[in-house]
Amino acid sequence: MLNLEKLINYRVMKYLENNQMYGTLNTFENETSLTRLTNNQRIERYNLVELILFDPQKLLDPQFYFNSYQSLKNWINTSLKLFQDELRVLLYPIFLHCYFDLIEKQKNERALEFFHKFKHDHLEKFPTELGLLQSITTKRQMETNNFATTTRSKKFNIILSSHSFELYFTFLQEMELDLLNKITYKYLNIRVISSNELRRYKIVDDNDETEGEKLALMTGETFEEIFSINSQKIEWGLLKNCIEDRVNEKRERELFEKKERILAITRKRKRTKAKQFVFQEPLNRTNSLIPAPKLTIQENNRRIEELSLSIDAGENNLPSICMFTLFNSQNKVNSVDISKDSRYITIGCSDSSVRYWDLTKQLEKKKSKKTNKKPDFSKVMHGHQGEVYSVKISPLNHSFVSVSQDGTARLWSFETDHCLSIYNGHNFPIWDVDFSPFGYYFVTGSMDKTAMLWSTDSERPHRLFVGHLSDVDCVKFHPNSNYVATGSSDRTVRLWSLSDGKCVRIFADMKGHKSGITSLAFSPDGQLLASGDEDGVICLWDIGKSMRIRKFNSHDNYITCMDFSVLNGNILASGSVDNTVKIWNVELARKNPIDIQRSKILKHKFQNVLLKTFPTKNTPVLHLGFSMRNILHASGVMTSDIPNNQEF
Amino acid sequence: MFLSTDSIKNIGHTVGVYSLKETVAAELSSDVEYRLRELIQDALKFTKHSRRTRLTQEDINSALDLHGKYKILGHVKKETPKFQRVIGDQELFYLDEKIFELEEVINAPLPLYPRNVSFSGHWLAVDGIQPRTLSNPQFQKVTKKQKKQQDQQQLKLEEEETQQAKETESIQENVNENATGNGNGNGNRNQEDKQQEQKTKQSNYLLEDLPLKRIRRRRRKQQESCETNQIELEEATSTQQFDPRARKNTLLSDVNLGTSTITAKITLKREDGINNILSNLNIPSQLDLKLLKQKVQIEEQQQPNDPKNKGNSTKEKNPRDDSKLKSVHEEEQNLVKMEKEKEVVIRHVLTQELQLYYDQVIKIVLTTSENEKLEKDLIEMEKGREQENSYFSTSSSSFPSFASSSTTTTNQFGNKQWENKLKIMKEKKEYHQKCLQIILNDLSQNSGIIQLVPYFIQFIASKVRIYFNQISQLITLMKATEALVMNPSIKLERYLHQLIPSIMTCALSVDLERDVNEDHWEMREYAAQIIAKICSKYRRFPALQPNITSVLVAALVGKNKRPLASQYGAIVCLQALGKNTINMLLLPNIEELLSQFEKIINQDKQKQQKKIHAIRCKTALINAIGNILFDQTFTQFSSESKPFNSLHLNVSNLYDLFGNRISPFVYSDKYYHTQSLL
Repeated sequence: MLNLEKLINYRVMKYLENNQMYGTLNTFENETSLTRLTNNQRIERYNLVELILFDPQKLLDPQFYFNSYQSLKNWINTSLKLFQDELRVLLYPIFLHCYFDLIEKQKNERALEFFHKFKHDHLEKFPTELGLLQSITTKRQMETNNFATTTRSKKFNIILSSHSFELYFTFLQEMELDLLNKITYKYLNIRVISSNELRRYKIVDDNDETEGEKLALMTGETFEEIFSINSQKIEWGLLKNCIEDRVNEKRERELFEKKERILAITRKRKRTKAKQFVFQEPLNRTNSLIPAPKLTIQENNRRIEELSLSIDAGENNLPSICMFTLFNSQNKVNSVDISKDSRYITIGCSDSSVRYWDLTKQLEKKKSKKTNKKPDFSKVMHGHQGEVYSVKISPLNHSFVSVSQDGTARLWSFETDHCLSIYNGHNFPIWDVDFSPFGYYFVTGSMDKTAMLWSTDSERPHRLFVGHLSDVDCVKFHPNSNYVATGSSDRTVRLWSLSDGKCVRIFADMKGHKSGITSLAFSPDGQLLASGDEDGVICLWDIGKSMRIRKFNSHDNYITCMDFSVLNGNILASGSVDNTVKIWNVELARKNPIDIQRSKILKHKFQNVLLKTFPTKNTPVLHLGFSMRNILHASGVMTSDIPNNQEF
Repeated sequence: MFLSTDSIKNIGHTVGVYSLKETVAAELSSDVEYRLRELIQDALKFTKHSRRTRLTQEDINSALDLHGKYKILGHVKKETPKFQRVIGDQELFYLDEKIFELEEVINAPLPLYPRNVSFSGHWLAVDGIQPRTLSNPQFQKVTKKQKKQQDQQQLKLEEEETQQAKETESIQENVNENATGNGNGNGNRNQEDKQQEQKTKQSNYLLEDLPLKRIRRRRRKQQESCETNQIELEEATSTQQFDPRARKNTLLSDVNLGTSTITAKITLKREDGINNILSNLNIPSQLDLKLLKQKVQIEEQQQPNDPKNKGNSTKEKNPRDDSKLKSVHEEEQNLVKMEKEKEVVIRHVLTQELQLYYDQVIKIVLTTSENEKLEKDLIEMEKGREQENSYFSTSSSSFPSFASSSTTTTNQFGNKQWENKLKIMKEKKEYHQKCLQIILNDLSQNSGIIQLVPYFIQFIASKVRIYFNQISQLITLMKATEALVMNPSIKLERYLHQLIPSIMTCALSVDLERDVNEDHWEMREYAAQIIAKICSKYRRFPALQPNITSVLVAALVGKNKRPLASQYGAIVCLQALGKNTINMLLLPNIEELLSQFEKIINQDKQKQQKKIHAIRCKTALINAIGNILFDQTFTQFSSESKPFNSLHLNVSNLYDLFGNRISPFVYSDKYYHTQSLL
């Protein structure tokens, strides 16, 4: 162990050497009786600043970790209520790094002791993380473990108000807790914000019925980076001349003509000219940023026709739900998808097969033969070498894509019942896939922490989206097909631009999700993004303002699927493993809480956000999707098992 | 730590590493733990993405695959594999896996092809309303808490009802007094009181779980009509002021006014207890009564022909009061009825077929007593006829010329009638016997009547009490009981506490002997056999037989000794229960019993009937003893089988007691031997 003084002396010598002050260097050498270090002699093992600031002898004593953590905990618990919530966030990262420090110093038993002594502070909020942490007991394991390396290399982002930050620092200095000082300096990324800004945050938080506790979040970027990313301008509007606009135009024109007809009678007498109908396109319409084949005119017209037949769903006009229940699944159905025109149902199975039913054929058969026997037209197709985790039907309705445990995606044709192509790119199981609303492109999210963009006619991926710290569990295309959202087990949602493959939004909120994201949905106007997590919590994010506007908390188990109603998107449907479908009022949630605060209407606390709950019969819901006519298609697998909760 | 160093060493043994150092084992164990945790964490990801909530073997295999390890291959069982403890070692476990012969597996018939995945569509919601179809879950489940509350409410209702029964009587008196005494009703006061009463009514309504709005609306209407009627009444009273009876008549006839005026009048006298009375008299509680009545009806369905319940429901309401109140609130009651009927449906889910079946069985079982009655009537008729005949014959002898023609005609006529009746009776009886046989057969085999079992048990328990003196009816009941007991698909465990007392009554009851003509001995033997059957069928309840035998022994000997007929029943029961029982319980008391019986038989003063009883008892006792005696003597001299372990059996002793009467029961080969002993 090098002496601190010596170390400083070496540093000074190096400084002199680097600045070519050889005269001084010589006299320094003479006076300190030290020889110059050769190049291969290194003293960089210890960070100098660290050594100057903190006493290394103290850092080596494991008892010191116990004492400092305990005193911090005590201090926070006795501090003012006002600051307690903010300061408590600090506990978890410090706990984590204390543990890692102890293991790094090979005090394994002391580390375990430390873990068991203080684990109860965090067990409720971070059950999975603590499980991971507990498994790491030696230094070697720590070096290879994924969780440990990411936590050690990335910094936690924490927001503190200026006042509580001051309090914290004076506390550290007074108590001479060098250790905490070191951890704060090395592993935390504290952003101090003014009281004004804090108030803005608070307003957002106050609108939640459930006043959740703040959690420290890790995203891999510093606050400044996140801020710069999130302040980028995003063209979240729909494309110019999109179907929705055409439908709205059609509807408005009809209304206008009706009025005109009534007015025409009076106008004859006055002999004034009839007005021309002009449709005003909303301002935020954008161009497509990526080259993509356009829809055929027929397809376009078909969609417009279908959409114009749809009935607006809303608070007073709840949708009908058609449920497709799968039987005899033997626990092998992993994923279901129903096409928008409800012609095809596809399922991905754990026996590595994919199957689909053509409902129109089934109908024909039923009509023609009138037999009692149920015709079974499921086509079974094999090709994957592992469980199929997700299937998605192309919006063009002639093919579907499936992703599997073997790390490949496959495109299957409805017309030939064969595999059209294989997409090799991921090294690990692929969890989820989604098609662009216009077909052609699709995106996959994998266990290797990345998402990839593919087009159906190319074997290689076009874009690679890297940034998540854990598995990418779900992916979703933005309605204007310029962006892709990904949700991950690291509790964050990211939005990526397809044109340059960069991250344009990071939705990470200290009061947002407390577990991994399992499902995503965009509102049809492209403004809102809903994300559901393993605890059954749904967060609603405003993409333009890059902030959370609402949190729905009613499901008991993790959310498998969500969808907004077509055209106006006033309703969000969510399905979960807890055998329920819930319908949420987005129209109400969409009202900006800050605006409401200003207009002082906010006295009622949005009680009626949850419109209705539909329990299913022992059937976890696997897929939800609004058809073009605003009928909600749901599907699930009937299970005969007793739910786990009852068993234990 | 998951794994102790010992288990690591054990695992080492299985691989062939015999000398593992403690430190190495400790190191390994921590590493294994880490690997296992890692594996499970990854496997959980696969579970999540398979949309399951339970970790399966395949998930673990997937995780192994992910880490580049070999999958665990082999037969995949449906059940989760079980770890079993090694015998003799506290901490060693092994997987209980069968070893299959490969040939067996290959040659085994292929399992059924699993059903293909199929789907069906239904509406989970139509315009936001969930249709109540089979494919949607029923979400009105009664939780335990609610059940408890319901039970408490029922209890309360019952209490209230009994209170009410007392109150109404006193009120009735008051009403009568008022109606006669205060002839000219005080309009103002009446109204005030009425308002007050209305308020209390409404407040009471709030306590009820009824559709409040609807009822309130109705209430308002009634209030209005009440007021108009009040005016009419005042007009009427002004004309008929001094005729209290007329006033009373109007009161009675005026349906809408009934309650309010009556209660209002009570306030004049008994202001203190008014709230109490009102709460008991006014409508909500009256509704309660109605509810209760319906409940009673339900209970009657459950325990048909229970006389107690019927008595309650009819006795406790005052008929006059009720008629008024009833008509006042008929509509509301109908409403409640509808509500209540829903509940009824929820409570009993008996199919119509089952109900029909139940009715039929009960009808046929009960016709035994009817037949008996008819038979008795016939017999009496015959007796009467004979008497008549004798009378006429005597009279005819004195007035031969006068009456001869008439008597012969009546005689002939009576004979014909009687013969016809007898014929019909016989046919009826035969038919009934056939029906009974069919039904008993069915009861002992049918597996679909499980739902009816509680009703049958109730039925038997109540009928045994009613048809106490009709032995033949009791026998049919016992036959039905036996059929139920013998039915292999019916499990009577939960009803034994109801069933056994009624059988025991049949076996031990004193009153059975009242009718000398009846053969109650057979009845007792029959009951004894049923008890034996129950004991053998429900052998796994260790407390069952001791409980029964303790009752039997108590009836037989000791302070609370029962009369001879009961003693006979007890002896028969003990005999039916087996040799061990005789040995343990009957033998020790044999001398005492015998002396008692001998005493009665030898006394000259005793009644003849009692003597007969005592002789019966004695023979039963000898039979019982003989049963084990034979075994004992037989096994004594056949060396192969184990000797019957008898505590108190001493052949020579028995010979002393019974004399030669037991010799038939002694094993014949050694007859001489036993004789030589003497």
